[in-house]
Amino acid sequence: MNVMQKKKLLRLSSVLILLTFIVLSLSFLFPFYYMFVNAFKSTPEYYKSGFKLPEHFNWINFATMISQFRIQINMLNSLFISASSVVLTALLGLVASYVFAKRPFKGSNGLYLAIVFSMFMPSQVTLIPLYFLYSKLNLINTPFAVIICFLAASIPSSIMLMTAYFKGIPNEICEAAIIDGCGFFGIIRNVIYPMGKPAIAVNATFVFLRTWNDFLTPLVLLTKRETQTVVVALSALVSRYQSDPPYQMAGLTIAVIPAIVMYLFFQKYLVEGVNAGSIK
Amino acid sequence: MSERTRKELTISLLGIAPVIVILLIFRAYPLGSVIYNSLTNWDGLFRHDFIGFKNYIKIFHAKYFWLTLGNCFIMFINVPIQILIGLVVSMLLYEKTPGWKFFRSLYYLPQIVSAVIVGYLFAIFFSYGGPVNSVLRAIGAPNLAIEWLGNRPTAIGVVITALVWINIGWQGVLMLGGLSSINPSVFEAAKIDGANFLQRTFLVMLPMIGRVIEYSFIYSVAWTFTGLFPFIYSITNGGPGYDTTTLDFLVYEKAFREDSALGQACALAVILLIIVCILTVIQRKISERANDWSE
Repeated sequence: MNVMQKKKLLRLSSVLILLTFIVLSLSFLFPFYYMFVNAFKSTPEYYKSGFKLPEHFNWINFATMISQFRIQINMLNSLFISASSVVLTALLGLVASYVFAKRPFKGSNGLYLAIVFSMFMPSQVTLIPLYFLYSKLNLINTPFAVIICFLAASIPSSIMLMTAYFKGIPNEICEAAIIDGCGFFGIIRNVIYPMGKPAIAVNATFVFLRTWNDFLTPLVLLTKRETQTVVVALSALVSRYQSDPPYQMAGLTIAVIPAIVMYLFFQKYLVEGVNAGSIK
Repeated sequence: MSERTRKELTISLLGIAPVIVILLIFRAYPLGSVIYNSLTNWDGLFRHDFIGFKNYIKIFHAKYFWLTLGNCFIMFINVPIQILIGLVVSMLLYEKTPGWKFFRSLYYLPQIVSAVIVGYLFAIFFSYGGPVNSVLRAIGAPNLAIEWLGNRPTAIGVVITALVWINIGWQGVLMLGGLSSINPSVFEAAKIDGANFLQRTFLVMLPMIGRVIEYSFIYSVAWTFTGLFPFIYSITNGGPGYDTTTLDFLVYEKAFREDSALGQACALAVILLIIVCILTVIQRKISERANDWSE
């Protein structure tokens, strides 16, 4: 095969790959397209032409969602619960990971393994006793109940990710900081936090998305509409409006948008974070 | 131990104390409680007596339990399918044709959407008046436009399709990470030695990313046992009957929908936990073995 033929073959294979990619992309984009365009339709228009773009963009489904269903309250609940979980997980995880990575003591390795191992406990197992514990303490329908469950569920993987990353920070820098008079929190603030920022950011993104999207825990612990997260409130809405798909689609669109915005900003971290578990 | 090192140790312990306390209250206590309560006739209200293994015996004699467990095993079909498609996607991405980063991000998109929302989208798509059926009618196959979620084989098929759809991107990115960690000179050497594309794939590439495939396989199997709840809840609600109920959905059903069956629900949770533990131990064994290889 001469060089010309080889080049042609190479170009042909790139074109074939590109075509495959585009076909595959359609299968990923179409459901979102369908959800998005139908959110702007009336029910008759949906049944007449579900696949087409709407005749005109009609915001009424979203307006009803806000004025009658008051989805904005659930949105704020979700935001509060996810943000609190992210901040608490980051703070507690940062300190604990620093200890595991840079200040090992007798038994710290066993403790670390025990913490990481608890990651594999499914929430179905812990939720039954916790539900009854919370109802005794009158904590059902409070964001606190969900936040602390999310914290317990997120901290093992957070510690695993951050400890692995912090181990790569050179010991000399920590020692220099000690000579400069830094105490325990001084080292965390001046060395570990600035140098470990990538791991902290990856972890925060993962925890935000996981808690925003989680369903089982808030479903069980939040039974009153005005305390529910947006995903849980939405599931009630979707099952109630079976006969009104555009309204369902508008609800789904509202719940998806924050996650997609988050993804647009942090996708680099997310896509690279996937391999943290398998390669290292 | 000197005064100084003791002080250092105290600070370290205080640093991890909050995490330990939280995990003791919200992981260890519920674990103990579930195991104990699985041996009682707890109904959430009045009865709470020790009855030994009666709950387990009852469960093992119940038809719905074996149907549910069977459903879990059928759902496993999603694992080889998603690994296979993910592998192909990763091999195509590895060629780094123009725009590959964009496609990689696009395929990962379903991962960041809540599983319940994906489930509802699938439920709407495969509903009787939904888009799938209207396409089938439009292309002149109205006989195929059936009640997809109304009977067991097609309903399970829809769930499996959703599971594959949501995970292809994750598999692709994971496998691409595995491929990228192989030194490209290995492929070059195989090429020079005259290995064709298929030989390079099956004799060089697959053995070298075997570790990643194993990791993905065990992880996905464990996920099939514990992560299906939102899909089942939104797509089929476990029905018709128990026809599409999985073990993790059954625990929820028994604990929070049917009152008075909490002891049984706890026993089911323990069974689920045992299955997940076995899978986790296998996973650790495999990753330990993998570490031996790399050193």
